[in-house]
Amino acid sequence: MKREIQLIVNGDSYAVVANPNETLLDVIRNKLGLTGTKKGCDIGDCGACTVLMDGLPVSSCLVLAVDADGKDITTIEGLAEGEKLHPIQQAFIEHDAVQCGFCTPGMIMSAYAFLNENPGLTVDEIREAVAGNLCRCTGYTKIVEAIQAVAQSGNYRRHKGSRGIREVAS
Amino acid sequence: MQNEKAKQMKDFEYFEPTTLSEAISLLSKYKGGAKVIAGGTDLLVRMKQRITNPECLINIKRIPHLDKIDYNERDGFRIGALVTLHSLETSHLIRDRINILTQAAHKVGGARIRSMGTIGGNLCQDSKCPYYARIGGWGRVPCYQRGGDICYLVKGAKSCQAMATAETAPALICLDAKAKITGPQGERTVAMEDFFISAGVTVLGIDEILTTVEIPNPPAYTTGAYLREGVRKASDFAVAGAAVLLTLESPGGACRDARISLIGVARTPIRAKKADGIIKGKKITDSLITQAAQVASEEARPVSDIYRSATYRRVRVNELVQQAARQVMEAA
Repeated sequence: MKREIQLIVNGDSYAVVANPNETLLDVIRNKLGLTGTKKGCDIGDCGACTVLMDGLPVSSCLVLAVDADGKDITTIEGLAEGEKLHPIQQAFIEHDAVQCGFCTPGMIMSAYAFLNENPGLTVDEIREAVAGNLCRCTGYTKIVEAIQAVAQSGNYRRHKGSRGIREVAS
Repeated sequence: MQNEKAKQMKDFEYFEPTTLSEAISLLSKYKGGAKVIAGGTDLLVRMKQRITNPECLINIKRIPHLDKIDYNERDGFRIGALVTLHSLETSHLIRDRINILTQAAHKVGGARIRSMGTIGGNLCQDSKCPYYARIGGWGRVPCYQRGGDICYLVKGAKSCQAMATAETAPALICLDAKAKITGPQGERTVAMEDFFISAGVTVLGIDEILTTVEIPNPPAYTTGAYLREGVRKASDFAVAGAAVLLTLESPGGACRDARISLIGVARTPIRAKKADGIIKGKKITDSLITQAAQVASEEARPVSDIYRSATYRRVRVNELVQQAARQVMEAA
């Protein structure tokens, strides 16, 4: 049975009618028209569908749209400010980290999520950060270089809206 | 892997109960036709592959208090089943007191899985056996895990032989964790090492929910390590994992207690009790570690599958136990 939900994507609020068996990925692409997020394997293995939900990277193909009701969602479309690209996007272009571009939104979202939580990064840590994002074109070297350049420049703002950890020590 | 192409999930009834008893009533009402959804990173994959087709999904994330990490010195930890792996790996409380669990939580899957995946879901996860989940699903005689009477891993086997992959289990078993379960009859508690029956099968009845993982405060001078090898380099389940937890009499002193627990080398997460006995009560030396690791690998009962041979798993677990034990001794 269809449900009315509210999706907050890149700061905009959308009223959506969704069936429980629809994924966040399908709703973002087909109902909201935000096709920057890609469908690759559709089972969470390739990373092409990576978005941030409450500040954390998730496989949107494995999130039910009804479960994303009211959550703060960031897609690749939410990174640039008007015409001004986010430093990560800029670095991907400058370092030739994009070939066909299909993995790129997911790569950038994973890098974005990782840089938000881990400001100082080694190459090994960067590789681990994007290990869940598959690329069939580039061989990853340029992607890692682009992310490294951003990490070293410190030229990015931390993402707001990270979910806190609820722990109680009594 | 074309034969595991994902499809649109079949339609299902969907509920978001706000109390445990509501959730349990629903489970009872659907008589096994309903499944609980927490993080969804395991269940939804199986539903897209049409391996699991529940009539009803019960989203338990709206039930309050199941996602908390509580700690006090007397009772130790009470970790709600809905605590995500990300919350576990970033928790200062856990990092400072039971670091072996921090290590285990960090190694599950990849960041995206850990954002949504929960400790409860990790423990209750479905089998990762390739025959069941992939090849076995497509027009072949169903295997034991799918309600049939054959195991594709071991010819003539009388039950499912797939190896366990619940990666937080070994650390929890070493820590003497208990699973708190709620059902229509009320609450019951099961030792973590008794929670598992076979890969993808736990002691949970169809109308029971795992609500909490309880971990007693570890004794002084206790240090642990969890090491593993995945199928891929990253973002995949373990084909071999070893948790080693050692309690010393004093810093640099003899071993008062030793716990070794393994994953990926038997149908459930297992303790290596004979290996524990090699170390316990003695001053730990390098050769003792080597000996214990050898004994642990002999306690393992791996079978070969398309990922790794039984021999490989046995050899790897030997190496991982040694590495983990040495890591513990350096940190202790």
